[in-house]
Amino acid sequence: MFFKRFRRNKLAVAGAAMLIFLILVALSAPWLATHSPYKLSIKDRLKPPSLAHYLGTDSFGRDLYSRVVFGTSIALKVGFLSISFALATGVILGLLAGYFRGLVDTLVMRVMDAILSFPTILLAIGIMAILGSGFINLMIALGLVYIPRFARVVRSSVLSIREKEYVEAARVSGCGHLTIMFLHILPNCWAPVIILATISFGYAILWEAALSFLGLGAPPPSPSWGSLLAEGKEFMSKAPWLTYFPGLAIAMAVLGLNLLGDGLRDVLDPRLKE
Amino acid sequence: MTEPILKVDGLKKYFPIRRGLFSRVVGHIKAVDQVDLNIRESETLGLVGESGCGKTTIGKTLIRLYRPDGGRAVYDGLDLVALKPPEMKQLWQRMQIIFQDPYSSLNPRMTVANIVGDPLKRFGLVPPKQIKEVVAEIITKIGLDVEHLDRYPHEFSGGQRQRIGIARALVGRMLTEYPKMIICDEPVSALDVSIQAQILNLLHQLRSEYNLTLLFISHDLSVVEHISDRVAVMYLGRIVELADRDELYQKPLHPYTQAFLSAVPPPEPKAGSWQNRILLKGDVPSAARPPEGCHFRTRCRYAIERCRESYPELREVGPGHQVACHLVA
Amino acid sequence: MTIGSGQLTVKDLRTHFYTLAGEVKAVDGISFDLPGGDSVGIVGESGCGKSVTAQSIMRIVPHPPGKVVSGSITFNGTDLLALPDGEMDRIRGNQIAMVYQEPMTSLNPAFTIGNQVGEVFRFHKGLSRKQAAQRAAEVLSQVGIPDPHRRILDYPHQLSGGMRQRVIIAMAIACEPAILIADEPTTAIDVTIQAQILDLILSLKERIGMSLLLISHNLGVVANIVKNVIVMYAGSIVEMAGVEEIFANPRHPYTKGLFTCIPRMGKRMQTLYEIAGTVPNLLALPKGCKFANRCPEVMDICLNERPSLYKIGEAHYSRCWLEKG
Repeated sequence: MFFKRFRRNKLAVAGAAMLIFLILVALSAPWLATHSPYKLSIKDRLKPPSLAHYLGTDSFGRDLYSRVVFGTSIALKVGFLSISFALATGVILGLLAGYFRGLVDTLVMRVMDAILSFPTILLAIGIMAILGSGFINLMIALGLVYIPRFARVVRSSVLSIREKEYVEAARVSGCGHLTIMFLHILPNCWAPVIILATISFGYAILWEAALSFLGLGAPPPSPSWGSLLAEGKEFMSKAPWLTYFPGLAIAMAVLGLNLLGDGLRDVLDPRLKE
Repeated sequence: MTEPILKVDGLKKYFPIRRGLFSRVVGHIKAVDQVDLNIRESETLGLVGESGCGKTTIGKTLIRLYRPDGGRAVYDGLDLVALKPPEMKQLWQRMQIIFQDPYSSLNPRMTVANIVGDPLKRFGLVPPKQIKEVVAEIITKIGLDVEHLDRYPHEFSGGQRQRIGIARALVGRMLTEYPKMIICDEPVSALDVSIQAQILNLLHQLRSEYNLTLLFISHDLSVVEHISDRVAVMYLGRIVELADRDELYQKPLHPYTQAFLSAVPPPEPKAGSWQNRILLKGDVPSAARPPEGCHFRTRCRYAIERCRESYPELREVGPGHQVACHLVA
Repeated sequence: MTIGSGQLTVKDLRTHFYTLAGEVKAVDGISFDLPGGDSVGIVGESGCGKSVTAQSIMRIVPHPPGKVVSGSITFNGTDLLALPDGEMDRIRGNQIAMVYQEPMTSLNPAFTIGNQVGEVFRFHKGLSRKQAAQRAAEVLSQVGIPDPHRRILDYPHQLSGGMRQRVIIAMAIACEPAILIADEPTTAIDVTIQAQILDLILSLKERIGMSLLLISHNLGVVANIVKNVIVMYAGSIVEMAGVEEIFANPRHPYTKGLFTCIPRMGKRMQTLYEIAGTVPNLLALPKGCKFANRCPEVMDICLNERPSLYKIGEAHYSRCWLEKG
């Protein structure tokens, strides 16, 4: 039933197609790329798109197309890992807060509120200032920033599900609190979490680009899309392709994930009501 | 006559009302306010009343889904009020509950086999490999097929789901002599009339077969009359009348019971006679601020000064017939 | 307000729902008459199409996925289904009004009672806010709400279920409609309050001279309130007759089953009569009579051909092959 609904929803299908496309690109990077993303060739610097270099070259003569292709896997990796971290932690916190209420709820949610009150970019920069730059730290920072969103969404689902009779039935069947939280309540919370994860994945890619653009991502010569933007910034008038194509890649990825998220919301929503 | 299997004295359950920024407690909803009752083994006690009277709260408090705020309750030797969390499993092996809403009492993400087998797993009654066998046994007893075991709740109708709920409550009986008592919390209220008949017949059959004790909670007077041996009528957290079934329906003494019984439209046109029924004026008072003295006096045609001064205790006025009314006792 | 002018004739009404899973024939060709000033009760279990019938008359069937496919609904000579939307809007809530089951969700929690009841007057009678508020208080007192001038300032959540239902009734009778459709008006309310509400509906009917179409699954409510009864099953009418006749002499096997399977106060039975089986899937209706798979008196012809409504007495009809010779 789910797949039937999914197939009918054009948004969801379009988004899913884009995501699958990106994943395939990332996986087949070594074969898709025409050059090594790191190979310098000063004589070829700042060449516009041509048959030899599909998307042109940068200031070091590196093939932009190959760099963008390899950047895809970085974007997807960072997005996926940071959101997975946020999801895992946020879901657990949301479950605990929603199920136990009282002091646990108050403590957890006030901390979540505090995190949410910071503008994302400032918070991320702040965390990275403490941790240092690099991709691992970037993923941790983005993850931390997104934890409250997952916690909130899960908590509100838990609040309504815990009142259902099947949770009372589980209690009276001898299930302990942990069993009820993870085996009875959690499986019924997935829909809003998946939707949030998909859309956040897109935003995480965007934030990674922003942070790398600011120089906080992995150091050069890493071909992350944000770094490519940063490198291209100086040559906007002379070699605009250096910013267009990475920017286009980012836009496509975020758009695809947003479409998928919106589509999933439409597909899953009527069942969200039950 | 042997000792009752369930003995309840002065049971209380109050829900705090919280207002304000810091959720200060400003009052209490006295959902269950000093309830006494006894149930003998293999008896069916009907607990009847309208919304807000506390009947569902009593059921859930006895089975410890809510924590009692006072009073005593002893079931099969277990002190229900003093029970600590680790001991609850003992209670739940011996007493079970059937819920009202077939659409929310089964976990939509679990198969029928898992739902019905859960108590067996949690109470360790049987090695995991044999759970499915036991579940298959009870599933056929309640009118479904073995092939239904791997399906999910949404594939079943309301009546079938309620059967699954009954199977879950009784699965322990496939292996032991427990549960002996089942709390039936409005088990047929959410079902169509023709399905109600099926489920009531099923309960009757299972009750005879397993010699079950039932606390049957409902707002439907006809259903309660059909299935109960004795009936208790509740109003705003207290029992106002308690008697053997026939006695209560033929000779109701409490003014509320009389009005309640007469308000039920008979399923036959009775020109004029239903129109002469006792019409209660006004609404049910708030359970947070029940009227002083007798809770029913604000709607009672016979209320006198004494009804405001003191609360009438439940007193025996005939064999097995108790009433809480100044004018009667 | 002319007494007896609320005349409704439904002819071969068909309302279908087009869902992902297929076409659901919720109302599958029903015809009945509601004479002016009279009362008709539609009785049946969930899924029989009684609520969809009411929605079709009011033209509020949710349109994807529902649609009135064919038939006519004539109100005082005018076919409601043929009216343009604007004209139907003027009739709905004004000449034909409806009371719903859930007083909780029928009122908008964000607006005061006075505002919502007053809206009926502002929209249909063109009154100003002040005039509408005044009329609202008047109509609230007609439905038995004490202290109406203060109540109009209250919000729905401040009222009890019974009070809210009275407010809904007030909104329905505000314009003194010719026809009142009550769809399970007392199902969500306690029995002692139900008695008050039913009394109220009957006395308003007397006073205003409305026709009443009462929909309920509760036989007791129907038996004591209406003059004529229609029994519906899986989208079709299976039996109709005057109220005394149908309860004294039910003929359709479903009607008989329905009347027998309820526990009655004062009549003791060990086990209740059960109607075997379950309602057919509206997505895949059987070839013959829709009740055949559950009927204790089923014959061969029942499985192959659908019976028509046969007249078996003065205003008594039954859709059953048993009645055909």
